[in-house]
Amino acid sequence: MLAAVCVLVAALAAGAVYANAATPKAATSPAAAPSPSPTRPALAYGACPTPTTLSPGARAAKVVGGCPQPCPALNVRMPATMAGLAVTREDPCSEFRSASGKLALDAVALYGLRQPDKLLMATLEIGHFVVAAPAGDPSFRSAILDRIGDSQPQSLLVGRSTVYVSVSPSLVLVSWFRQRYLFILVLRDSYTLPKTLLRAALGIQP
Amino acid sequence: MKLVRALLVGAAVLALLPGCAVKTDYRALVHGYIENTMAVARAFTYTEIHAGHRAQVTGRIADDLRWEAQYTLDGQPQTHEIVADEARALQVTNPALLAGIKVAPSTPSTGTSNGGGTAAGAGPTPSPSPTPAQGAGAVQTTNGVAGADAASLAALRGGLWVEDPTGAKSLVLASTGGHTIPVGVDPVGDALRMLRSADLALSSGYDVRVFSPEAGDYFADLDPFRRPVAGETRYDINPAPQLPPRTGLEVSAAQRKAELPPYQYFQSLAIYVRNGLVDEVRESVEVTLRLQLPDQDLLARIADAGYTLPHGIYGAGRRAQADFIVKTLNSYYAQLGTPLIREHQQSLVFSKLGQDQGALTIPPGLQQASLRGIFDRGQTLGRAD
Repeated sequence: MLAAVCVLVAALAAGAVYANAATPKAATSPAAAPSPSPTRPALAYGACPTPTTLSPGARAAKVVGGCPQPCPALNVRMPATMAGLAVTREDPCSEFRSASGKLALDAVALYGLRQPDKLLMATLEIGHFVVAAPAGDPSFRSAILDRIGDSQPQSLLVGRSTVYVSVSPSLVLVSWFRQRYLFILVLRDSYTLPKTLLRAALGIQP
Repeated sequence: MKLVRALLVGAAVLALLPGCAVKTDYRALVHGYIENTMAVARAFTYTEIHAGHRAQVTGRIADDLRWEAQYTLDGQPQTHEIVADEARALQVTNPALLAGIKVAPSTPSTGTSNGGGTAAGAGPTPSPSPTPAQGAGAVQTTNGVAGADAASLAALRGGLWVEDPTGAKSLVLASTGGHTIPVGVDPVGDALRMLRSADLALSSGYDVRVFSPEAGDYFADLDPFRRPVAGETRYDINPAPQLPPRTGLEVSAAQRKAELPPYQYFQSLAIYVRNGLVDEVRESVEVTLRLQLPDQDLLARIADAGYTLPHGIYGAGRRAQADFIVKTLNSYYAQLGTPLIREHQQSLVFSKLGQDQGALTIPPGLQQASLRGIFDRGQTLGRAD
């Protein structure tokens, strides 16, 4: 069963919200292998406890208050393929809650990148910061980057962009900021064209 | 009004007193300049002069995933290398550099390093990021397999270009396992790493100052570096190293050995900055310069630590004294596993900073084979924040 995942990272200063959808509705091919897994467990903030709102296998949300909202989707113009991988839009997080002004992200998009045999090789997540989030502040960005992956972030210059690389078991995570957007590209470490894919992803303009 | 005037006069007097001057920490400033420089495309010329030989690497860096470098030794071409995203291409003009590389026990005749993950069956097993070379052309083990591809070595010995389409696929900075890579073993790697090494030196507790010929402890004849030109600022790292005072005879031999100077004592760095960007980095490791410091006591410290000084060493020339000091201290550093003294002069000069470096691609039609284990240094450019 293919499971697309969502990694959303929010500001420490403005409050943190993580959402994690364990089983998206986009599961298709029976031949698919396990997908890249999330980097951090979810801390849901302001979620409603209605059982029907929780997907099977999803982590239980801590109830704070507020009502469930539809996941605010970010519309991004994406190519059909990137570095030879087919791009498909995934359900980013069925439990994403927009409960209060403390959220740092107000819209998200999640894309799966698959080989012709449907094996998920990478995901690209894009989040949009709320107006109140200090998206350009170095310490805000640093706080976010520290929560991505299991290693200290390393920075690379790619084109004219600075990207931040961290690792988790079997995964490489590459993050970057562009205006008020956060991009996180999660790749299997066995993927043979990570740099080509990264350059293609850097060309995405939300 | 009288009070205000008195305060202003007092402040002016205080500002003139050396002990009251605010000491500026230039570390963060220079670190910022280095970061600025790492964030732009640049061309470079790296030179190392050691033991009468001159290694030079010229190249260009479009970004941390695309660069080209040509290495010459005493004016003779040695290697030419291009890295363009995952692909790596190499030409070895001096086949002697390949002498120490062993062939892998059972390498496929075709296929590339770090390949796989797609079609079933064919090709070598995907390998993790290679670790940096420890010696010129040194073999690195990846996936537990030691050795290089026989076809690659044969082509390189013939002076041909070889391209490994996935030979540089790792995005993660190559790990050195906590060890400093010795300078001189891999000049191309030295060239690519020098700016980052200078950044690391800033965080090593060294004194960092703006160059000033008027400084009380500046000796022009002991300055290994050129003066900054108009529009340039020079920052010196470790310009006047200090050693802890020698203790009396009541301490143990081990404690006396702890008073021996570490290799960093002999190392000086200068960073030249123009318009917020580094345009040159220089390093000098020269024992004879330290022997000329007025209060140096290097030979005495070596004697304190229990080493026998050669007869007449105090009357010998500085070069003879330096040779003895290098040999003795390196035997001690080798026991500790710390970097050895390598007397040399290094320079890294940047040009075309922030400018388009031109198309940086691997020429088509090259022989494709694995370059694993052949000057395999992994992802070298970038910063571990």
